[in-house]
Amino acid sequence: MQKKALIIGIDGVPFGLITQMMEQGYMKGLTGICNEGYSVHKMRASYPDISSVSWTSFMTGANPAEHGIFGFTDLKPNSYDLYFPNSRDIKAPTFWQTLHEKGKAKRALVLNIPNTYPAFPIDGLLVSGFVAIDFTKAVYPLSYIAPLQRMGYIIDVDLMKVRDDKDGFYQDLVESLAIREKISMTLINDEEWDMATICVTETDRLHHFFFDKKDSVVFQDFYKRVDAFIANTYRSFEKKYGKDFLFLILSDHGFTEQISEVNLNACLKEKGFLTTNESREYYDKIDTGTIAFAMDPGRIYIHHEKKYPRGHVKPSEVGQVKDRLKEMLLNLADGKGTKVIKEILDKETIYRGPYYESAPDLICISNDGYDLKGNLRKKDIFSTDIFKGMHTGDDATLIVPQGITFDRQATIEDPAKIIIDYFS
Amino acid sequence: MDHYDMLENKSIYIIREAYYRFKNIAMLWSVGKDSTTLLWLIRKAFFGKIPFPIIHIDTSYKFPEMYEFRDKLSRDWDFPLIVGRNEEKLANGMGPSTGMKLECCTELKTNALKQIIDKYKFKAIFLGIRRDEHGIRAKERYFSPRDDQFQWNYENQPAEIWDQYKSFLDKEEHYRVHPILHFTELDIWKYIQREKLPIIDLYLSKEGKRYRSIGCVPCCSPIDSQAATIDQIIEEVATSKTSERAGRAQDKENIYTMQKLRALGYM
Repeated sequence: MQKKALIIGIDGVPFGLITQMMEQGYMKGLTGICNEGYSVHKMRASYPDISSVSWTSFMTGANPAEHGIFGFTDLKPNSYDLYFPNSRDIKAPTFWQTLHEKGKAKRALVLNIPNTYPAFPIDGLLVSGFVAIDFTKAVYPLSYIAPLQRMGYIIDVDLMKVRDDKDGFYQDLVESLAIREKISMTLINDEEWDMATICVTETDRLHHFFFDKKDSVVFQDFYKRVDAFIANTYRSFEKKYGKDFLFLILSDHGFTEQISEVNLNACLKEKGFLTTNESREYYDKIDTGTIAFAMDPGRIYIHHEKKYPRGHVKPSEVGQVKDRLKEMLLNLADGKGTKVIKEILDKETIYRGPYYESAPDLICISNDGYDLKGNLRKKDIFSTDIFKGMHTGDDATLIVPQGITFDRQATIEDPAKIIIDYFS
Repeated sequence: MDHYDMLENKSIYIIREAYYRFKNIAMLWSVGKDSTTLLWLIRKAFFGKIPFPIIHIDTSYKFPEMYEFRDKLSRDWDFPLIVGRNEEKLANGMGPSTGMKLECCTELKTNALKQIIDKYKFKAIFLGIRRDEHGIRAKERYFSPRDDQFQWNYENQPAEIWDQYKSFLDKEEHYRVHPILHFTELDIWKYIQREKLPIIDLYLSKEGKRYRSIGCVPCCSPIDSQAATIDQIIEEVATSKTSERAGRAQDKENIYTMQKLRALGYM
């Protein structure tokens, strides 16, 4: 008999929060499912812990240096040209492709997974998630565009609306989640799938703008809706295929309350590591004399002589530059004297794979509340904006059948292996 | 038939069709420009005599000008007005400074409306929301055939539009109807000008500032603007749109991508 799998992504849901919501009775549906034989694990996200990198590690089971995605933004080789990596830049096969090639699972439903835009061919249906722009490029095959539009499909809520109308934005999140549930259920009930991978991204949006209210009724109400999404989707799958299918839930990173944004480039500038030419744009501002620069969120790149047109740091100087950067950044503190950065990791401890050279030289891990930023616009090291939450890396969520155990902390690269093993 | 006649006809068709389907219907009026335009269209649809109540949700924090405008217009246009207030929460001191802003909105707006709907057992509510409320960005919010191409043949698919307008506010038994969904901000101002509709003068520039949208005093801030007349607002809205669309030499997808990333705090 053909094996089946249902995988639900819950973008940005931390282990600590989901277990708390379950304990407090706001996620009765999920608790019921877990009682039937699933356990909740605290999972490590990718480095850096942002959606495009983490979800790509999820869908490929690969390290960023193997799949080539290191952030929402990157620079083209040998230049300062900014580009936005997308699905075309993913260099490793996805588990949907792998299973299809092995003949183990045929039709796949892939709904709203970040960094799947533009939609790429799969045996089944793929609807791209964040940052999908043009709906006609967000759906494969094209024959699904009209039916999805008729069902009122929404790629994402209007993220700018939150600045003018926070209440309306919240209502949009509720609506968007409801539509996503309706469409997921319709697709599961009306069509045959060997595996369905469906992602809820409204949770990440909620957390970015409302995480300071995580103990409020509004937040709990939203989690009840997420719970209904999970339970209803699970139960329809169960009704159709019986109890014997692989079921996983995962998030791509955790969240915590934001205290301040920390603009690493402003700091690097102040300490003499970075000089900019303000007459140019974006990362082309980086000028001769620059030793290092940052990109979102805590990626530090050394201005290598052979890697950048205006770079001058020689291979023999790299070790010493890294030491100076670490010393300076680890001592960075806010006005109250609280240290911003908890840990700085060298690329060799994180990354391995054919795209190792493109990886950032250092990854900064901040203390909770200090949201590291890599923009070149903000002049002050510490700033605040509308955001109430920030990503965390070591407390993503993974829910797997009880039989699956880990002898170390689970990572975002594990689910793909679990899925492939199950079908093999 | 010119553009504004067409916009008007679409709206009036939806208004009459909704009234025909749900006799127990009402309209939510914020007294702002959009819902006042909708109110005018409803008035036109029923030849000056609005056959159902108009609801104003009063948070008690609105601008004084808004209360004056509300009371004057309800007399001048002679329609039944229902004022909804969450008295219980107001008595407990709920406000943007005492509670969290979102809870304040939820209690004083959403729940006040729920109370009214429960009390009067309304089956449907007209709302003055626009698909283009946030300029070019709003096009990304919904993707539907009628929105994309404006070739939405509602006459031939009445069942479908009602499905698509189904309420999301709660799972209760009422529908939300959006007759001016197809108007843009610019359309609204041009239509207000053409029909000579009254508006609150908070929209007009005084000392270099004006309100682009109005609501509760503590949660509204004016924009920098010299537009002191509707003509000048039309000019301002039209040109600000152009500059937003012109962008840089980069391709459009990159601009959108950057906007979306910035909206989440990246870049």
